[in-house]
Amino acid sequence: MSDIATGSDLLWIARGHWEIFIATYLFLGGLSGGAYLTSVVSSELFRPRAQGPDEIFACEETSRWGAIVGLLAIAVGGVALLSHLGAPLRALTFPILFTNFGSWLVIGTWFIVLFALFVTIEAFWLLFGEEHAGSEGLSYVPRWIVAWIDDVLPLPEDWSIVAALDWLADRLRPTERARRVVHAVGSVAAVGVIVYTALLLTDVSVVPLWDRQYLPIVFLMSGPSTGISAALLGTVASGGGLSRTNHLFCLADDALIAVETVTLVGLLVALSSGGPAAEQSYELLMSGAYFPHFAVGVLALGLVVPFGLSMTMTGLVRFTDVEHRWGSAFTGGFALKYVLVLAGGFLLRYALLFGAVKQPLGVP
Amino acid sequence: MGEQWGFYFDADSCMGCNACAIACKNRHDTDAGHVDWRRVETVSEGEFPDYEETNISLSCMHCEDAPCEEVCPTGAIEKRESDGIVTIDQDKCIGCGYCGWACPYGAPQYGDDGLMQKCNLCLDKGPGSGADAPSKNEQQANGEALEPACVDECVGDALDAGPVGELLDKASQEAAERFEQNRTNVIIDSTGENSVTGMQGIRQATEDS
Ligand code: SF4
Ligand code: SF4
Repeated sequence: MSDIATGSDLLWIARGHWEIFIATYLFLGGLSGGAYLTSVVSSELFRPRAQGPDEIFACEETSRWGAIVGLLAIAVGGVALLSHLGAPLRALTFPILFTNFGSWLVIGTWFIVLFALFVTIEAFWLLFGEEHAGSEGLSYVPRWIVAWIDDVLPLPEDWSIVAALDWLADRLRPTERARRVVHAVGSVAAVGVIVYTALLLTDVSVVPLWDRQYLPIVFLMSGPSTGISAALLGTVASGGGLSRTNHLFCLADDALIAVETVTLVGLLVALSSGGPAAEQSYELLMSGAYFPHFAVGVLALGLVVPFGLSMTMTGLVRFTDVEHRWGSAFTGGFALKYVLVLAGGFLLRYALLFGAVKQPLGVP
Repeated sequence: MGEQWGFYFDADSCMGCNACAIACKNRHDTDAGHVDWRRVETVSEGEFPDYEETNISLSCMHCEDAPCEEVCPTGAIEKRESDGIVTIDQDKCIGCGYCGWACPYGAPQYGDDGLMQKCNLCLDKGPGSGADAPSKNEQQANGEALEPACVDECVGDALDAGPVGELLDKASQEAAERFEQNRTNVIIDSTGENSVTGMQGIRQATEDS
């Protein structure tokens, strides 16, 4: 096999078969779970405390964007996963076929199915129903698309898909209390999706880069961080860049970035003296073929720069009044931060897959 | 469980001719240069003039703990109760590649059909075959056990296959002890100074370092 490198004393084993589709899937899985959590936090914690129409608008936009992004990401991620499989149609029979409940692929599939259900319901409730008719906000794009379909389809005069969906949403809308329970269970499923994408990798014990101690924490930070970034990027686009919701989420994201950075440094230190495969991964990421992706893309541009940018902007907002005079610069700054975090989140999965090296066999 | 089957490999007798790998391809009709159920690797040590090479003929080790089986979502991979041979049932495989990552030896590989295949210890011919074949022990008792193609064609008599108990009788004491410590179900023998000494154990050593 051409991709096995043999070297003195050690027999290196070929890497497995996961390529860019799987990196995309792992990224979108974490992002999707994180976006849903962002939506729930915005609805449950921030919205009830919001003051003034602008803040209420920003909270609601964040809730909607979180649910829409979560739904889109899990859908696209699912397609990315299926397109990697050798027998995608067979995989769709998973309720019957997936019998090994000790495999993280099986546990994760059920988390995804459960989560997809919750994120779909959430997006539906946040976009449809009488109260949303005629509402403003960029996050209503899906509603506009359905309305456009209404226009172009040759439907009878008194027939409208939007109206039907509004009617259904109102009938299905639960009480506040029931909604809270739905959010709680949905959040557990979201965390399940985020963490499982890490455990899928760490279950492979022959790849030291997929470290059992560090990787789950990295994913647990990165998933919500990318989720916040995607949902807040939408909010910024909707005009909520200078809102308190944005500031609070941005700070929460900074905390996640800080923990993720420290954990990644811990992983790198462990790799740097962890035996031949660990050291080779370390070199690939820190000076070799994936230096641009990992050291530059993930560490510098995906973590340090967004953190620094955010801290600078937070300091300026707190201690000066430049935010009011330079509003568009701040809006652009927040958008840039979120874009960088998203790019870093993808490159992280990419580097973790392509930097993976299997323990070699030794020949003394 | 029926008696475990495995391979015996004598690194000193292996001359690296690749006859085993080619015989395997011929019998199972695997794609040329693409999928290797058995492959010969050469590991070098030292520098000229103190330079040595060791040939290692590798296939699925039919592991005791079979990490490939543990991760496979569909149960397509099975460590058979009846003879301990690890098979892939291609009718259940979804081609996710998870087993390919979990296997420390790079044994499961994608075929052109996008499904996984690997050594089935010549339970039967062809990818995916043999998953439901009768126990190799029964086949042997009836005198119909298919001798693995690699064993059949090995020029230097470096490879053998059979119930592990029988193979151990043939192995050196050192090889038998090493096997007991790391039951990958390939007994590796060598008397040479510079030869393979139990791959699994060495892998563990690198993990611990
Ligand atoms: S060598 Fe690999 S494919 Fe064979 S049983 Fe062990 S883990 Fe599975
Ligand atoms: S590729 Fe096939 S045999 Fe391997 S883990 Fe996936 S489903 Fe199982």
